[in-house]
Amino acid sequence: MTGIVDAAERSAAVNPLASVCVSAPAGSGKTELLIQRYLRLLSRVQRPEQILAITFTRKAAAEMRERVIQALQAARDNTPCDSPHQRVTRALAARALSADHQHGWQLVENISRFNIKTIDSFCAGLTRQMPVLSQFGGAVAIHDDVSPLYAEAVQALYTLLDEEHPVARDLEALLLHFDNNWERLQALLVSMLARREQWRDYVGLHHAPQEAESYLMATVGTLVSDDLRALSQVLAPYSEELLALARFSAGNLGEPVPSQLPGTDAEDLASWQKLRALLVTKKGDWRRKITKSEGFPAGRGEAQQRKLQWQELLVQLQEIDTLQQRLNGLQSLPVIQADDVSWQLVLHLSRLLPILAAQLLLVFQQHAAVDHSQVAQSALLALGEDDAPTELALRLDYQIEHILVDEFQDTAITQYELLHKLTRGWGEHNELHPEAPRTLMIVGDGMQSIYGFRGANVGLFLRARQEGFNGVALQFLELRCNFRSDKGIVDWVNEAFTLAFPAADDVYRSQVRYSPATAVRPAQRSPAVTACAFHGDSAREREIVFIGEQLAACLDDGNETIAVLGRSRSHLQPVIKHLKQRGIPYNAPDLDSLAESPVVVDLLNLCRALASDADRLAWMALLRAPWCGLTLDDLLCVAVAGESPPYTPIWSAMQQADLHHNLSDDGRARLSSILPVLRQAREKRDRLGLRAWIEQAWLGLGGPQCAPAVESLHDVESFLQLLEQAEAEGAGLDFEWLQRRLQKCFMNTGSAGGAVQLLTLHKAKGLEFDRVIIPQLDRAPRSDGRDILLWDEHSSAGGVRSFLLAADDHSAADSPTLYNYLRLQRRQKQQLEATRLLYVGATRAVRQLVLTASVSLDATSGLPRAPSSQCLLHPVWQTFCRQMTLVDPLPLPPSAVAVQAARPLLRLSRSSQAEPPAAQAQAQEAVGQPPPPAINNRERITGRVVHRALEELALMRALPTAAGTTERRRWRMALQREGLYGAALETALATVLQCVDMALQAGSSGRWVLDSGHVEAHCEWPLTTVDSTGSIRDIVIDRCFIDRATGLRWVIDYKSSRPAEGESFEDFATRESALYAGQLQVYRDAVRCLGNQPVRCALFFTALGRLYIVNTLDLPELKPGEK
Amino acid sequence: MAHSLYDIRPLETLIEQGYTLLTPNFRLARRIKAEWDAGQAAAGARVWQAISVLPLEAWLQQQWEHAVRANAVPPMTPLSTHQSLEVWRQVISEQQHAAADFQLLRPAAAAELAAQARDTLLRWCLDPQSRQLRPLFEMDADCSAFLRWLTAFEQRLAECHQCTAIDCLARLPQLDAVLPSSRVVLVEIEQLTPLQEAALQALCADIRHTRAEHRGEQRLLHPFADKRAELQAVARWAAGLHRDAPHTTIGIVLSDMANDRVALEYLLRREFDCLGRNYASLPVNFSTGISLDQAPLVRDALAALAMGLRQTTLTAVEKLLGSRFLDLPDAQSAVAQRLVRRLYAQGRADLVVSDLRDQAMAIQWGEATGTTLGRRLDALLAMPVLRRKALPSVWASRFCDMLGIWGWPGTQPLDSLEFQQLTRWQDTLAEFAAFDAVSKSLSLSEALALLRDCCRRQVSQPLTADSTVQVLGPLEAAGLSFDQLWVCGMQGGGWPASANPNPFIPIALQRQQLMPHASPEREWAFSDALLQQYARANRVFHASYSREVDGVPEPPSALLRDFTLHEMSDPPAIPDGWLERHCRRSVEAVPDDRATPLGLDSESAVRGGSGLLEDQSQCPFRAFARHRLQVEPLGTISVALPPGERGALLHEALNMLWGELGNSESLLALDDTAQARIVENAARAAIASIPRRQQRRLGRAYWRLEQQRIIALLDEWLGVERQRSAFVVAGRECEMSLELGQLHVRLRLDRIDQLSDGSHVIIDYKSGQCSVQDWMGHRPAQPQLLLYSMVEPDTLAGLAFASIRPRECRFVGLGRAGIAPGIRDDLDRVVDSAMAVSGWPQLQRYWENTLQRLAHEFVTGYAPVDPVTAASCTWCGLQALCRIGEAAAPAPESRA
Repeated sequence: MTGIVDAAERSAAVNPLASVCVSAPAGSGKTELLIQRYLRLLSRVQRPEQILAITFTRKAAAEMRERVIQALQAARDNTPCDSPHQRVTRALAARALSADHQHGWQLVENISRFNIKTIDSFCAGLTRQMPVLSQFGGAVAIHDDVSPLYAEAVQALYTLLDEEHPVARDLEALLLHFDNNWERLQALLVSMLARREQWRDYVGLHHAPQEAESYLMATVGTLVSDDLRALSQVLAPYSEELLALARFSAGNLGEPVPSQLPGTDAEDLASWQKLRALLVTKKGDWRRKITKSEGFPAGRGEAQQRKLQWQELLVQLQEIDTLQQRLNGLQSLPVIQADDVSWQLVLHLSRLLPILAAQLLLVFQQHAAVDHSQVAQSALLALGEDDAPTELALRLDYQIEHILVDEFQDTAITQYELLHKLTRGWGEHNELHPEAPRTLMIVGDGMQSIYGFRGANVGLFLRARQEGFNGVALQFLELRCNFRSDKGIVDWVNEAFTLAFPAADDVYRSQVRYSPATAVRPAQRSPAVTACAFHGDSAREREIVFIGEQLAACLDDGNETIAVLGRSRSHLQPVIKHLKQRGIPYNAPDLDSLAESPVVVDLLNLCRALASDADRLAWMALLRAPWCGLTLDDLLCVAVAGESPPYTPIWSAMQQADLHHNLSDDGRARLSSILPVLRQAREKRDRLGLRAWIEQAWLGLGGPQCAPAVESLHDVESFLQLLEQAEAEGAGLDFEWLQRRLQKCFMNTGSAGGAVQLLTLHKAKGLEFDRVIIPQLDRAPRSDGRDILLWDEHSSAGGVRSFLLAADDHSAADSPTLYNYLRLQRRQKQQLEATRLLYVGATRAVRQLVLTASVSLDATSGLPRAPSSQCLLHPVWQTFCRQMTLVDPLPLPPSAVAVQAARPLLRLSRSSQAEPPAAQAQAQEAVGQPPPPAINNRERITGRVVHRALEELALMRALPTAAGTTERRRWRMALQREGLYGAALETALATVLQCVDMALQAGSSGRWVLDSGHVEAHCEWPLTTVDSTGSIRDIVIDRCFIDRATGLRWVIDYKSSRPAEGESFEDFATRESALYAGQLQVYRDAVRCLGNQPVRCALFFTALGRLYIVNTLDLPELKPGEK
Repeated sequence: MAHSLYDIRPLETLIEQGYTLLTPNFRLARRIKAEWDAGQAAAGARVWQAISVLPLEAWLQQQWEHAVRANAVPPMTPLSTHQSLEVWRQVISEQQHAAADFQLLRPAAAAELAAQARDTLLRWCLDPQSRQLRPLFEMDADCSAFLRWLTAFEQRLAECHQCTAIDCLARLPQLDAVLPSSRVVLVEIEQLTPLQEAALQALCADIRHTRAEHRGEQRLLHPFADKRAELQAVARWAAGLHRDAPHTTIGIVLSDMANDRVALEYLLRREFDCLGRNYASLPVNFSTGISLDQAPLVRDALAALAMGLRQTTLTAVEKLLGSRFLDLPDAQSAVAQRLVRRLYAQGRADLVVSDLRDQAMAIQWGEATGTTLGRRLDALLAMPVLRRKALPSVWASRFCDMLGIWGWPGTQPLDSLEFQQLTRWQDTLAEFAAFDAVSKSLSLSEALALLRDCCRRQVSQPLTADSTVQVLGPLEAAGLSFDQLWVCGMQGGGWPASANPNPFIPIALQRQQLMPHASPEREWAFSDALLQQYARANRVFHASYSREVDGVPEPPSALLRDFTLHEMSDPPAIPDGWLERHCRRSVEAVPDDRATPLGLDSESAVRGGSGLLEDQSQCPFRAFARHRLQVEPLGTISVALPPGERGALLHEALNMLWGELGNSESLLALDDTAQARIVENAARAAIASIPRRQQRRLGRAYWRLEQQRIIALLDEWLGVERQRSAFVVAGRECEMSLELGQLHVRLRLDRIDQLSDGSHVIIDYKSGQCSVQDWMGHRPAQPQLLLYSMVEPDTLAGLAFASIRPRECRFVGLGRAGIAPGIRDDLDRVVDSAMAVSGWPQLQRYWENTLQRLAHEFVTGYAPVDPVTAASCTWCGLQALCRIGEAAAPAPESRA
């Protein structure tokens, strides 16, 4: 093992007094380093929350937390440790543990105290803690995919067109420019909303339209003059010669003769371009000769002398490294003409975007849901402006003292700004407290920045490293050791990528140079890296077969981990297909969308058919699917059945008697077997849980028999679980929802235990495998054509960040428009990112790396042609080319030739088709017709308050003659409390008072009922009783007492009903007592057990103030002892 | 008889002595009462005084009522939680308007937090307006905003003599000796808030505490690979236990009830075999269910009410038509289906209700005119009151009238669950009506939103008899005793939960006062106490956790210190039954690519002219499906005019344009102004040909822009036409027909130009991509023009697509030299060598043969799934029927 060449850097990284920026290339063991620093800091804080660690994913956060806990546990249990870095970790953990004891944190148990989070969850926490400052108001649902909401915002924007909103003019202009294609503009604006953190600050809500225009103008101006300045600096030593030549040329061409070299303002661009023409050709090559048309006529004397002078100068200039590139760059610099169509489009957009962003906020409001970008934005808002920062320590209850950020190269601008805000005042603090400084550690690897498409900007990493934050300077530490890969691989990577990466870092162009690694593991296998190129007919197929052979050989070798890494899933699919044919077990998680699984297609179709009778396609497809498998002829019969094809719902047609007559025997049997299943499913709609409903139908149809393979059954389960989720989220059977989710779920391809892993390069980041194969390096991604809008962040040489955007002005590709400039920039950035992506892939390998590609040979030289500049092979072409094995075309083995199979109708044979479900207990549980809506709530409420009033009266020691004012007020409140207001309240109160008056009238039966002088008197008396069926029942008796005079026990039930129009009291009372006899009987039987008194039941009609004795319930007096 | 869920023996003497029992929740109160009653009944009693057992808070509330009656406190109207939230919401939005410096995304969430903050402060007997506390609150923006809202809130309550439930309790500590003093037992109450403490001290002479005897015997910890495996294992365990020992009481606690309930319910059904026939007899009680607004009966009622609004959606209409609870007898009729398909064809996701009504009234098919849906909507829209604002109680009765129009809840009998939901709905409507207390007059949409909110807060939970298996939330299980309790989801990340202090109370104050969720320490203590209680009260306590949640590794909760690790195997991911049936399957592969030939009688049923042959050429199955099965995908939704209609509009404009111009001579005679006029007229006329109603659907701006687009395009196109040699437009939109063998094809030619020598060029307008390659080969991609070429083959000079695309206007065609730029005459270079033709007559013959063959294929029922290129499938949309994706799947292992 080689020594640790970067031991000094590693120990500096753990120094708690310094802030550091660590560049940690692949395999350099950065997680360990992060953990060491975290442990070190633990021993210096009062509360563990004061150390904030930010990771890129939740998984990384969990892992980091887990490893910290493990270190603490190991220190506690004093488990043995041997390697040097383990010993370092152990020592740090021991110190952290004693801090834990001292403060009583119980870190190993209470893991919620670790402030280790993703940026998203940290921001969400801030917004939760500051609902007003963040303007969220409280917890908001944060969705990963809010594209439907973006679309809604755009549609809301469209509605402004008819409302004479000022933005309508801009929108109209844009729509017209894009051929009034609303869908297309919508798609585009949706994608802009998804990335709005990039433009919001510049064309955001707070900018007036004029400001936006001058802002954009200024940005373009700076951009041009930055480049001109850089160029003029390079040319400064030659300025005299250049000027002389330029003057000579201008004189000969009859143009104004310049007195000096052009300046560096944007308007000087044209002069520079003239100067350029003297040095390089139109195509951008160094000139070999110069002629009359450049102002250098043939001839002797001065002409000849000048030509010689020119030649000398050119020889010198060609020596300058980047000069040619800079000169050619002049051609693509944008020239803004204010009345240009393209410029006008930019202005329209800049006026439109703020309104669009505002519409999105409204949509968020309506749906009470936001995206992560909004959370980050709101968190920033909550943290306050620099001149009025929020007292964060107060809000969090702790001061963030130390911050660690992992994967900083994938940082986007909002994260950068967040860090800026969190570290405000740190510089001052550190000056005052050098012994207890607040510190920052950022860890990243510019070479592994591969999330540009998501807004990650590697330039921010470089900038943070240079500038630090708020006066906290970062000590730059570069790790060099690679603990992962064998020396052979490390050496190869060093060689190939030193050439592939740009020569120097460049913050403003988001470029990083390569920094070589030193292998810690010795070389083992030779060569560790194999490069294979295939050419000729069916080169691609050969390449795939080769990979298959490699994998088969690896599998024989033993238990090594093997991965095939592809740039995209389409690069992996041919490999999968081949592995299937060869029977090599593989695991390809998250590769194919679940929506493509045939069983899921059928299930989704079943859902559609059950959801809509109008969906003729779904119904026909249902009949063609394997569970039914009607032939074309039988389908034809169904299609014309019924009275009004094609509008007769297929479901109705299926039940027509003549249809069954017309079908073939087989078809009739098949249709009959699924008919009852479908009928039952239709009856059960909305009566079963969503999943159970669809699953039962699927099972009934014979779904499991129709699955082509066991893996498909897993797909079915995944789909049905999605339905569970739809139900849990309240989405129901919503096809848009389902489609969106299906795209994000993956099919079961391969088996979890498969020895070979197939992954995309992006997914492979952070993993390692003994052997890695990266196929199809020559394949360029599908060209993204001409996007109608382009935008980009831009940093000026002065470090000012800004934003540019342009719409496709339909101009020629070489015209100097802003659009073309941005297009070129984007392509260059993509190329840089492709290089980094390959670096990530190559550094996954521990022992062996295999790279393959298909190439074409140059007809004359017979040498391979350089691949397209957009493919992964391009950056490492030189190295690859030198060492590749060029495989000559050979006939393909027969197994690799695809056979075009005929497409028969696949269906269950009749014998295994659905058996019609056993005749179910068809009798629906019929409860009968529902009662009319009891909206006459008012009477119910009034009745309740009357009960209450009577109870209050009965509890009074002496019964008053009329209700007092306090009572009246109370009853009014009671009515209000039940929800009565306004006129309804007054009516109800009048009713209550009327009832009370009736009851209290002198000599009325009411006074006797309410008399407090009775024995064993109860109001609203709760009893529990065992009824005649033996079940336990709770009852409440309105009034119950023993009359001293008669010794009778009275059971009285209050009723608020009145006689019908013209009905006599007797008739009314008889009718009512018949109605309530059952209830009274239960009461009577209950109280009868309480004593020997004879029980008498009565109804008290509160609205009439009359008592009615229900004689029919009288029982003979009980003899003593009888019960 | 099930084992007891709570052992009340220690309480019996106290009950007999007349103590009131106070519990932490209703569930335990009900349980104690049930146990007592069962004991009484078992002892032979027939009737007894109901025992006094209720949750502490409810009892305190009762005491306040007594105090009101005793005139010890002034009467107030206590608001329900939901009502007071509404007041908070109003107050916050008023404050927001007044301050105008911030706009909250979710004022409703702020209202909840504010209400919670005020309650907590009251429970802790703290006054934020006091001299000590006020400065603390004013230190930060969120708390001081809360103080402002609080002042406004309390002022508002005072004005209306209203109060919140906690306000009532807050009165109690001052009532020392006003009410007769009580004797109470606190059952399983672990902690009291300062307010409860003070109130009890004031009201009670005798306070006792009890908690269940320790009955815990065993604690087991089960790890699982993931959440699904965990839930599956619980379900399987519960079912097994229930089968083996039916009287064992089983409690299942879900940490994340909201997310896991549906999944667990399904899995329990699967394990208890209650998915199909026994669906209604699952012996499990859930402490919660779906919210009422999701109950189908209520969901459809709300949807039907929403039809009173101005706008609806296509999906909503389809759902109404499918509802069992609305009286729409013809919902499944052909005419209703025609309506749905027409709506899809219009491609709008959003519909204006009045427009929908008009269409639903006017739609015709066969004998039938109009649908019940239309008549219902008509009746609904005829209710003038819908546009008038009113108080909730008024809306409540209007809603009943509206539902009456829809015939809700339908004509079929309801099952018992639906019946419960109906009752629930009526209660909710009454609750909604009670919002008069806090609401102003509402518009229909506001009233509906409030009603929906009321429904959302109601939980529809099937009322079932007490079962031995109960599924509960963590707090609901507190205090209950089971023989076996299983708590799921005990990952370290959730137990204890992270601190979640209320943002409106200074956090240091919360921590210092030990308020709920204030700090990690407090959460730890709380969870620990809860777990101790579980462990004490249940005989066997199982805890389980997932090693991974959403792909992120999780440790077990550190609270599970003394548990015995018990690894269970992860249950199979798919049910054995499926596997078994899958293994028994027998699949046959039947060649089926030919249908009965087209009968002469059914010829009239075959639609489509030239499109039919294009389909046949692209993929014979597609032609069969579209033209014989008459299957089309439902139209796709677009934000503007669907592409097909846009194309038709352009065709119409060109038709108008050439109707005016007539020939190249008059075109060339036009100056700029004249051309501008004539082009504008054509565009205008084309748009005018679209029915008004349809125009309204897209808004004025769309048509204004579309007109401008057409004008620009026509201008550009005329630039192309000007380069041609002389011609006369001899025919526009000509309808013709052609016999191709047995097939009678109707054609509609966009344009026929006559050249100066009397020969003809047939022109087809195209706004999509086109190329002469589309005419080549055995199966041409776009055979229409070839078909047209057969109409008058002898005078044919050329065939051309007029490719009318912005910035790409040109002719694309074949013919004699000199007709127009873009119409090529170098046949030999263009024509596919495989076709082996040379010269125009041979080419025409080749085409004729090709078309005859395609027509013959169609007529004879030749219909294999055989797309000519992969691109043929891109816009076809019939993949579910043709099953082309199936070939990508592994071939079946067994074939009959």
